Amino acid sequence: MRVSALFSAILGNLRVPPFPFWILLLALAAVVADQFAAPVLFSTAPLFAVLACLLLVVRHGYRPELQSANPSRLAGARVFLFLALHAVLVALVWILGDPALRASGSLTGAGWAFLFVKLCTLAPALLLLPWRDWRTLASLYTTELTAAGIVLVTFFPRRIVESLWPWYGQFLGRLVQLFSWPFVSGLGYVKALYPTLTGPSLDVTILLSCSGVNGIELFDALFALVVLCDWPRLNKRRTLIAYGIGVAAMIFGNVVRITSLVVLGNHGFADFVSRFHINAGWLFFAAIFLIFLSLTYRWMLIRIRLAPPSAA
Amino acid sequence: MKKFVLVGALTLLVTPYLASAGEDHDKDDKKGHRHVNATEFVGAGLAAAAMIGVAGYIVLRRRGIRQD
Repeated sequence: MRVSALFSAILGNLRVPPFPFWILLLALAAVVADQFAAPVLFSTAPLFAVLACLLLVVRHGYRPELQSANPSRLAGARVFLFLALHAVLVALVWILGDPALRASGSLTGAGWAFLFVKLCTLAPALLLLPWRDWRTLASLYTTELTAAGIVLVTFFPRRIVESLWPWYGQFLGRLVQLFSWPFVSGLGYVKALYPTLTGPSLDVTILLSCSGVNGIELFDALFALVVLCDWPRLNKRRTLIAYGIGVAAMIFGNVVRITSLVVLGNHGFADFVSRFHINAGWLFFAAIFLIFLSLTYRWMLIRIRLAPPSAA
Repeated sequence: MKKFVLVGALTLLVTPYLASAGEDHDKDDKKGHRHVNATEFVGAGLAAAAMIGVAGYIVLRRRGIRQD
């Protein structure tokens, strides 16, 4: 039984397009297997990018054009090459040993180079189909592949924020000081890797965890849910714009959040702020997401114009 | 309506964790200052935020469908 036929049999009446589905599922399984075999390869970016693409392709559903495109069968030789390349990649990481472990997650040049190795776990998937079929896939599922690309590079921004922190931390600290200055007299600023705003009754140190990256990750997860549930009726261009606006809103919201901690903490709520600021921060980010979604949700949807009733 | 009540109940379930969190936060110092260094039960905040976000989305989606 052909692999595609097997998947069609399993999926039954779900009306899932088998051609890209099994390719993406195989790629996802291989990335997961790589990360189990060599935990140093662990990265959420390729995992969630492939998963996002898979789910969005399923949500898009079957394209009749696929029938006429007549995609190739999944050849055994191609699957063998695909698996062999994954095995070589894992073996190379095993051979590298300690240097790979040290480079993984670090912000050095070696760390960035190793990030590239982690993303390379996606590359063997290109061997599964002839180039002609990849072009067909790209033309039929352009928006799904674009969304997966966005997930791959932006969805988990922790490393980007960590590498920018020496500059972004100062920018954030100064901005919070500027916003708090009208409300708190005698506010000082201690310049350091983790800057501190010194007030009359509360000092607030801005740590890496205050960078707002948690808010962006919460936004990413909730926005992904919206996109996944409403994918067929979303205006894709507007959705992309809304994503950019949402991330910017979270970054600005984080400035407002820290400003409110500084202001409230120096006006009699020091105990409350020091006790609840993390959980209050999560709720604050959730509130920003809801405000953002209530303003953009209907705008993101495709407007269906009903035909005027015909005269009798 | 039942689903909203359920979400509300789940949020309330999380609240005791929120309230009990951060007992050992830093109580500074010679100058009488406080210093933010909370060790709260972070997962509860994240879970509550996620539930609020999802519940809000469900409300907006239903309202959108009704208006359409």
